[in-house]
Amino acid sequence: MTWLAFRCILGGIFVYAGCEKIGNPEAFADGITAYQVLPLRAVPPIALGLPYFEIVAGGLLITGWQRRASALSIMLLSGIFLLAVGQALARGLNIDCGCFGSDEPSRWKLLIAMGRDALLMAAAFILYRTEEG
Amino acid sequence: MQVRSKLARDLSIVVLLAAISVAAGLAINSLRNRPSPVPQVDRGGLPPVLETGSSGVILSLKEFRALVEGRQGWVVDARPAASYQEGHVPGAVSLPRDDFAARYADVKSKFEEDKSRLIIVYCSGYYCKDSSTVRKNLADLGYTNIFIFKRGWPAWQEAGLPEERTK
Repeated sequence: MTWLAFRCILGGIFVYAGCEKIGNPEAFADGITAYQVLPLRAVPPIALGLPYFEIVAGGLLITGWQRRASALSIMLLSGIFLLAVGQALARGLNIDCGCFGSDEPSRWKLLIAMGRDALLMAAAFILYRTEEG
Repeated sequence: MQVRSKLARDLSIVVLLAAISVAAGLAINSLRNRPSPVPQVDRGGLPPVLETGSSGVILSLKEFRALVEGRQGWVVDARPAASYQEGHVPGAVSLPRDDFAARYADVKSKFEEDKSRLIIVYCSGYYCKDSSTVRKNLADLGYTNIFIFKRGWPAWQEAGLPEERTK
């Protein structure tokens, strides 16, 4: 039962994050571009697809179908976000995290986002390890 | 099953899910009434690309300047009215994000003569979002040829290009 609650919280965060981005792909594309990591050509498909991926991965984790794959998806996504935010901070970029839709640029919020991504990644890792597939 | 092969299987499902998500995102976007013109808008995101310019996409400072000086299309300033008054790109029309409806009414008649005329929107630089919002507002009104000059006002100023002021 506690595992179910754990899955619902983690999955819920991702579903929420995806929903916040899905309605405004342009703002999200701006957000991704601001990280200055990806070639610009790669930005549009990611801006359009990533919100769906977040919702699918979070949704699957909640329903419990394919829970190993969904936990792994969330772990990988959190890891990628962690790296993206980390490199932005290291390069001194003052940008909007874009984690949950668009917001004001802030290095403080980026630091918080890094901590949050690390926690999410750890949580997904624990879930992945506890699930027997 | 071996841990490694389990991981490989899980990873392949992850890749499949990601691929389906991207395909769904692209498909749903293209089915929308006005597909998001993300590819054109975001070409200009990074300075190196902006400087070299690319494949006819209007976004480098050089290209933007040529369009402004050639009076080709409307140049729209999406910053607040006060910033516009202090200085703006010559010939730019002020359509502040927060006062869009009221200010649009002033220019409506001349803008509506040709909804496919080129419109370039700028705001206060690379990280500002006002241009995107105004671009969306204009697209919703049926304008079809809208671009964003991502580097915006700071790039214009830094280049020491002529400024226009309103009293």
